[in-house]
Amino acid sequence: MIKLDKISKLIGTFLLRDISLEIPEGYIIGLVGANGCGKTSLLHVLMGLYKPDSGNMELMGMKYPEDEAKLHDSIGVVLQERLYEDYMTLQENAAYYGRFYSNYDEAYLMEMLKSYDLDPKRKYKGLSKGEELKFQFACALAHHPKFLILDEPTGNFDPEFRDEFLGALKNFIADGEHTVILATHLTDDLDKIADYLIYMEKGSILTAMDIEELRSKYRIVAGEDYRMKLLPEQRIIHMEKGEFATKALIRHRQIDTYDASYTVSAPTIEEFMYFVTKRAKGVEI
Amino acid sequence: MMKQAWRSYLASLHPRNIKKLRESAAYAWFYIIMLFIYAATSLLQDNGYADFVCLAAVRMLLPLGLMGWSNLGSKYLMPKVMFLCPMKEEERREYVNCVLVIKIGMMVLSSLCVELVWSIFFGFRLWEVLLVPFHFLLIGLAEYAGYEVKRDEKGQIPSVAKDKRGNRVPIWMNSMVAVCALLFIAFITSYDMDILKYGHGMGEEAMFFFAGVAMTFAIFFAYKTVKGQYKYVIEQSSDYELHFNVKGKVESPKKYDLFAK
Repeated sequence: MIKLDKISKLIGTFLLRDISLEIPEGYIIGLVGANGCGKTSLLHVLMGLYKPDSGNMELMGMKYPEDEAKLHDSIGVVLQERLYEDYMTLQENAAYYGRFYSNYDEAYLMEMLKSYDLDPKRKYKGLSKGEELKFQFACALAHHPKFLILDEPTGNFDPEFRDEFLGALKNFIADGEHTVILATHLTDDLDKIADYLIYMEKGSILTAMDIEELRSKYRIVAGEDYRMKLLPEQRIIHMEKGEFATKALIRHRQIDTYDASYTVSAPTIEEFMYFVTKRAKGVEI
Repeated sequence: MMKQAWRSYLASLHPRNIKKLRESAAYAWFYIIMLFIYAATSLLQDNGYADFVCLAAVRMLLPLGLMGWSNLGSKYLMPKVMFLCPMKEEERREYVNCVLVIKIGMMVLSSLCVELVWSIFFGFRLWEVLLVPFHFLLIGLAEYAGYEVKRDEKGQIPSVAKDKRGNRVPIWMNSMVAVCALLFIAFITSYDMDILKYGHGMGEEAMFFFAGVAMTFAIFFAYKTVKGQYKYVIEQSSDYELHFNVKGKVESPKKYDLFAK
């Protein structure tokens, strides 16, 4: 269970403001938002690297700082930075830091490195960005964590590995007792696997909901421009005239029906993000 | 935790780590200048100055280089990935303390090894073999315990970092420890190499006097630097935000009262 209650954190001039969440275990949570909206900062708070200025946080029934060691033993991370020692081999790096974990499983790590085509005897400094992230992922899983925190890992993966990676995440949460939070700009990946979506904007959570709820509460409606103007204005989040048709993101209710002249579909995460970002000031989601 | 820190040190010994020394750029230039002077010996007409400068540089800088021959040469006492490892706060502080002990200890031990080799060529003097590593202890303590104390966003020094006066230690002070310690080593080296023979007018008594003054100032500045700060360095290095300066640098006070009680 992830429980955040009005977490705020000032980092330089950027303010992470009133972050409140309650998400049970067993979810793959997609964390999306424009560049600089606070995704990485939120992940740093979850990892215990940033101490909140106010608010309460509880992860898996544990709190920072009193349960920090237990929390870190249960969390695996993949970050954008180069974390390990350049001159050491992959096996040496994993063993060097792995020994701090109670459940570090070297055999499992070797198995994963083999399936990711990474030679354990290779030096870390020789890895490409994608290989480095694969290695981080293998290390994150090697100590059998309960919670995975992933900061934009998929952008550097080849398409083949990306599918394997998404499959690994689905397997990870299959027992309902593990959780993944994945910050990413590649919303196609989230459409495939995410159960929950957190959308951040300027340091706050704009919306946080189940993916099914998102697909049931909103619709992308497309049609000719004059027809689109007939839609009830109070339900339109944003409308945009395209080359061939006008499109809008609207709030949908179960009882709503649409004229056959409209093309109506549940929004993808990308469409949702696009229209929400473009909405006028003051328009509620 | 000392076992963990020691294992980390041993596992990370590698010549390439010497690049991680914070001051490696300065040391590299120093060596280049020394080599240049040595190569120009003929221009200096073999009056011993080039030899003196080079050997003094080796005696001063080799221990610092040998200390940096591991990941402990990094400017961060705790790399980011260590903050993600399962350690309690007090365990992290203990680990940082052990890292500091090993870092400074290896500097002193390296110097002792250099001194033992030195004594083969220039004669064994117990006071010299002990005093030179002692100065590296002072440099190590000042270097790592004399961090610039970072203020919080309200401009306050965290209470654990304050000495009784509420001041922080300026950078120039821990630099003075290194300068005075290295001057001591330079004076002692000139004595060993009988550089006085070359007629620059300084008698043996004067040499010992200047060496003694340099040593006194080194001890004084090291004491002022370390007092109250060592504990804070451990606190700072075991806190992610302070160690990586997450909130950004803040203004430091300009005035420091050296002699305030």
